[in-house]
Amino acid sequence: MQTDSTVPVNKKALRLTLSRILNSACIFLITFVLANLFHQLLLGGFSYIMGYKTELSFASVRSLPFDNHYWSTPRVLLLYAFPLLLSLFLAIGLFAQFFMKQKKHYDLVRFFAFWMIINFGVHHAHDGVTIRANYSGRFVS
Amino acid sequence: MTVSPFGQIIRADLYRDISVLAYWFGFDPSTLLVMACLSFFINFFLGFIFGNELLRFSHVSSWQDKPSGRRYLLKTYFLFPLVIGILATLLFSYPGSTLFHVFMALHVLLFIPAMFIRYRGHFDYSGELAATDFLGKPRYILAVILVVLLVVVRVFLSK
Repeated sequence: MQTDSTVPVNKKALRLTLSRILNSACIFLITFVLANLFHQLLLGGFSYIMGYKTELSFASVRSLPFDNHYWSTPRVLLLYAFPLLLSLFLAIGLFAQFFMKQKKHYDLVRFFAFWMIINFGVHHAHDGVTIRANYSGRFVS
Repeated sequence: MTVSPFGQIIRADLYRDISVLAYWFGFDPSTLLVMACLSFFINFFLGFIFGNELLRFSHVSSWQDKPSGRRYLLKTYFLFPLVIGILATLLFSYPGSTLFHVFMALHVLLFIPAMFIRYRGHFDYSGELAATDFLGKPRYILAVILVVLLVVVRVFLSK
């Protein structure tokens, strides 16, 4: 544990700072990949269960065929609204689990949860997942 | 929400979730614009919440009370990792979903102004915190996990 209260400027402190930045960046990227994978697999699973021809990758989920008459409102909601809401609830659940109660120690697990909440809550609940669109301008990417 | 108006116009890369719902339920562009503005405000507001939580990870207890220490925490624990992460994400996602990730980056960067505003004021803890420098030493296991994940994604989920 470091006890001085000045901003570090020497070589050792610079190494410590770099270590903190790189560790935090690694955790951010790990949580980003995990959150995206969770979302894509959930979406791909639903799409497959509902009988669509599903093309799943890390960057996109395509549910074929695209034509409107293969789709209905419950199907659209289940595929494109439910995963977003689930991500939002997961983010809220993680926040409640790790940050609502005051703890004395904040460790690596909590820091992992911190980035996970950001990735679930912001990346997915606000923006959505990476579904590649078809260029024909018809329904569903 | 933020990308939905652009998703309706640009389609391709940004045509996803909310955009698809907007198409299906027939939202007009003004509704989408309101949703985008709402999303920006939500993210700005989230900066205050996550700003508070970030300070709890401080490795020096006294820094939580010093504006300079708080700014150092914000940069080393959040801002610089975020920039590194975003650059890496943009590289990995090129060209498929790069545009989407640009919007995502702008989203999370919206936290920063609120965090800086929050850090100017007094920070009050309801309990005592024991500072632990859990990020201070190199953790190679994190890099290994990241590489394994990327390899898995590239091998099994790249198209």
